[in-house]
Amino acid sequence: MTEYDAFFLTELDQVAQDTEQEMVIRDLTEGRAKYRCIYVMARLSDDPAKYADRLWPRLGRGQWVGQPWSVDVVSAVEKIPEAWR
Amino acid sequence: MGITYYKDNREFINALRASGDLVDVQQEVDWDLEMGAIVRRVCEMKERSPYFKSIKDYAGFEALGAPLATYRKLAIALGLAPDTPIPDIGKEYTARTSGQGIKPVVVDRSAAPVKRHVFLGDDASLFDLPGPMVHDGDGGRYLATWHMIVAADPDTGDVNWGMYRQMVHDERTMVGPVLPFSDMGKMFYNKSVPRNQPLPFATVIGMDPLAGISACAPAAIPEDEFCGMMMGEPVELVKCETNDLLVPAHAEIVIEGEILPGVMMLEAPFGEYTGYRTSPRDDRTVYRVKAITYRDKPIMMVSNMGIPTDEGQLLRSFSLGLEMEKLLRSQGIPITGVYMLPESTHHLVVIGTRNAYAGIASQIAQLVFGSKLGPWFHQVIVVDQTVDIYNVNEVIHAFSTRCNPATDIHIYRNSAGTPLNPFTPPEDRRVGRGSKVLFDCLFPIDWTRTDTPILVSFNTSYPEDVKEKVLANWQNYGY
Repeated sequence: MTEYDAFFLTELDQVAQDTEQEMVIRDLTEGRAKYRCIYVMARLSDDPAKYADRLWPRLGRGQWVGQPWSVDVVSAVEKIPEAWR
Repeated sequence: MGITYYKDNREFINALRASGDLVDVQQEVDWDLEMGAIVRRVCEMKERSPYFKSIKDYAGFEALGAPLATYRKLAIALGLAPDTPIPDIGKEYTARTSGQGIKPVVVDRSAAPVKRHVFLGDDASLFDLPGPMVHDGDGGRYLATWHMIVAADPDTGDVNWGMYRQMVHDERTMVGPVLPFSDMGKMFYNKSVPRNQPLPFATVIGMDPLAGISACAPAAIPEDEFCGMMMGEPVELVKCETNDLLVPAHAEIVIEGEILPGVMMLEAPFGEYTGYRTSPRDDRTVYRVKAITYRDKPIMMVSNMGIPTDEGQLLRSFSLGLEMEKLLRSQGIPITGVYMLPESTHHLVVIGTRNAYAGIASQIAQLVFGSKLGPWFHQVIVVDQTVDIYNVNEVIHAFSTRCNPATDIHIYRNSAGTPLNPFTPPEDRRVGRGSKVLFDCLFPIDWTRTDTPILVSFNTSYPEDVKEKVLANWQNYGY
């Protein structure tokens, strides 16, 4: 299981669950690359057991919520045009 | 007599150690919050700079925290005695920066320590640098907290050194706000973006202290020439690996790349210089990395924005105030001094003037608010020459007794601001809309001498012979 966190700019009860959505998650794996950000298409659930990986929600100003969610990372999203990568 | 200055960060570290303004931290520290927490506490206590000798996961790297967060360290950086009074530090800065700019010299890469290790393309990974997680809740690791970004105008070639925060997104991508009224913002948004051309940049970490002060200053000339003025001789630069920009040859670390037009990515939140995490997580400017170079045993720099006093607050206040003083004097305003309080996070400036004519306070406020310095501060207090602008007690006394709430508070709405102002409504933060206020603490010029209140103090209420007698006998009285 990989652990991620993500920032939500709305109240958590307004976050869409179980539908694919584009978002940024941060990989919390210990080591030099901790907090690496990734644009992904993913499904979320406030049920921590529903999807394979764990997601720790944070609010818009970085507040730690403390209750884990789960996340299904469907695919990575590339935001930078190929010519400039 | 020549100017004393430190050619690189390492000479400055030695000077801080010699003056008792540095602590060598031998114990290993974690880049993930621990290093940031130490630096934050140092800033709040106005303590000595921590020099971290061992960083978890990053053998071979060191880090220096809070390099210039006190006036003592600023005085040392300028080659002055550590206990030099603030007005004298200001006079030294003004004297050095009021002449002609000194153009830099370009040195061969063999004479540039920053070229000792070079990583290009995919070999250049931001995660190979000990970028700290500065505060819990930040949107990412911020490599650039005490640094400067070098960029050049695509048409004129004019060089800008500026401090724009940069968050690590992934191995080769950083993201950060570039405000449109900033020097680099004008280059990027007015020229590069309309042409869909990337703007080359170089992030310099661990430059010498005067280069850092120059990058903080709202200089009217290119900062590399401004830095030469402060040094009294040309600053030594070396060409980048992947573009034509020139960077300080003695810097610790340089990150080269391009700022991408037409691409925005999410950045923030971040603990900011106002002492709050204010600006929203939002789409911000993208820096794509092409190369990283560094010295042997490179030293990462860590500033930590929060409640006062960090180096951004101190140096921006210092240089904004003194550049404002130059502006007002150039207009012939009979000011007696300008002091921007670091504790105000460079939002509040106190300006002393002779009360020479009606409306002078308003003229002063409109000049400084209307200048390029304007978006960075919001409150002006104008006092007369009897008030010591560096003495907070005197300023508060003048403000509380001479500023008539009904007639002497002047509000300017719909001004240029930044998304970082905690007091502005969220909708105004999003577009960087601000507001300003003048507190006019001058007694009206048309009050007669019999109507004007007289200040009651030891200095103003006794004949000279009585004051001299009291001072001469002070210890005899038992004090």
